[in-house]
Amino acid sequence: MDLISYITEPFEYGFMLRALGVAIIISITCPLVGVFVITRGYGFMGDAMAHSIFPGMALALIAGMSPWFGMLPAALVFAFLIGFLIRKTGIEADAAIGILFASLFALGIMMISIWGSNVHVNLEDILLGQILAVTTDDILVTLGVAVLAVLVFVGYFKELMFVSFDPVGAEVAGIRVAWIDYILLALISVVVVVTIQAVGVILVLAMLIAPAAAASLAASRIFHVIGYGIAFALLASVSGLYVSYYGNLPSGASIALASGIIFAIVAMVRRRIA
Amino acid sequence: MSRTQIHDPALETHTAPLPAVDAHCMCVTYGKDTVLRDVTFSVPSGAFVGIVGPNGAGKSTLLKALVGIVEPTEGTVHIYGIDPARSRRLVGYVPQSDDVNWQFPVTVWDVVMMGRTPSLGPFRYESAADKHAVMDALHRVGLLHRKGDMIRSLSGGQRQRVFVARALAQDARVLLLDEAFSGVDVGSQFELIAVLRRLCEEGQTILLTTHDLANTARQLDMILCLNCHLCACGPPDEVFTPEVLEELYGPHVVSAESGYTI
Repeated sequence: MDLISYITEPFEYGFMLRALGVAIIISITCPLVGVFVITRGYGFMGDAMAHSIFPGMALALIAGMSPWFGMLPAALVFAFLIGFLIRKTGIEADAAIGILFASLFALGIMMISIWGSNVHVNLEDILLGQILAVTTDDILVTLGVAVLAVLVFVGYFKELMFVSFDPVGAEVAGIRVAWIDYILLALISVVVVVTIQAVGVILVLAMLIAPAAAASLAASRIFHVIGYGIAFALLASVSGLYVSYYGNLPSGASIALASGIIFAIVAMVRRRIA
Repeated sequence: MSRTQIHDPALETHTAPLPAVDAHCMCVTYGKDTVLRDVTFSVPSGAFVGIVGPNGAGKSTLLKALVGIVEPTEGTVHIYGIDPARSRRLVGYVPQSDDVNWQFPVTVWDVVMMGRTPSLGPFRYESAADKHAVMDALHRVGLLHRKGDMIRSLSGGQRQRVFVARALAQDARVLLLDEAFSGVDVGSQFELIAVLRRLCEEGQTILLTTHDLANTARQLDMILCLNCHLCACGPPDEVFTPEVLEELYGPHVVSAESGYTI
């Protein structure tokens, strides 16, 4: 088999093409919010969001609905709740978020264990992602959510930048800082939801943080960081898909590992240059 | 050019020039704590003013009241005759260095453009006029040649000048600098003061908080000595008396200070 057919063969299958579609979408959205996640120290929160969404997802599955009906409302509720915790409790926010997300995640596992067998829910798929099983409807929802997120992001980019860089100055200048922070948290949470189907609840951070972090080593201006981040994320998700296909390996783990390896390579190259 | 138009519409409706900042019997309380008590002062347009006092004297609270984040529990404060909450654009604020996320990947240009953000609003991006305002502001603080550099690569004094440029780009008429000289070396301090002095001559009114009584405060037009209430207010030579310093910092500092600067 020649090289070209090695490259094209996987995508002769419908399920691989759909997986590629989702991979491309999350590769654009993740670095976009990822830059804000890493520069504001929101990594833990991103992880918490992914875990907190779990009971919502479980509930929808048990009720026989598409998981989207549980995930999207849960994401927005927890974005608001986490924002509220940060504002109200200050330094103890980490602890509060930790307790909240661990409990909710445990609740989700309980729900799946008790009722999941009736509806044939595979816990592993939820935790580790199953990008190879996405349907055309999933892609459409993913695309819709992503387009909305990108639109809001583009519309509020100046404000997000101002508030992230200088919250006090932004408040003085008359920007509604709390409102902008809630918008950012809502954006992170919907991007997390969209990413879950690719890499699962546990590995969301691999896409949310690693490409943006690698990009922040490779570039300095925010637009360049986002650009590099998207390139790294695309490289990770597409190469992850190939590894998964040819190696018959779990897709979520392949993508997450590729993402981590890209970060390691960029960090090493950067060290050698610097 | 905008810098020559130092007259505000609010000014033109009055015969006597309005003071840039006017506080009258202002009190601020947080719960049961009185942070500012009966503060009355007036700053003329174009003045270069220092606010001095010990930690916890209410310096930052005073600035917050001037920008409209904190509302006086009693008394009034006005910026060119306008309530601070409605004159946000008139007041430019340079935050304390600790309040800024220096890791955020923005350039000097991006930071100054933030001065135009509130007036633009969401879903709108900068026009040629905004770019011109940013360019003009950077030119006035002498940092136009650094416009493409990352803000984190600049020295402390240069960063302060970028924030001053941001306030200028916002078309602010009153500049407030909170702890402007902390972490800024002496050479850069003089440079920053020279830039600020020139802006005052162009019609800006500047208020800054400082701990440096020996050098910085002496170069200013007017000093507000604050320790929950206004201990003294006037030119540095007149306000830095042993009595006022004792009221501000206690007897210990007076004996140490009076020996060499006062």
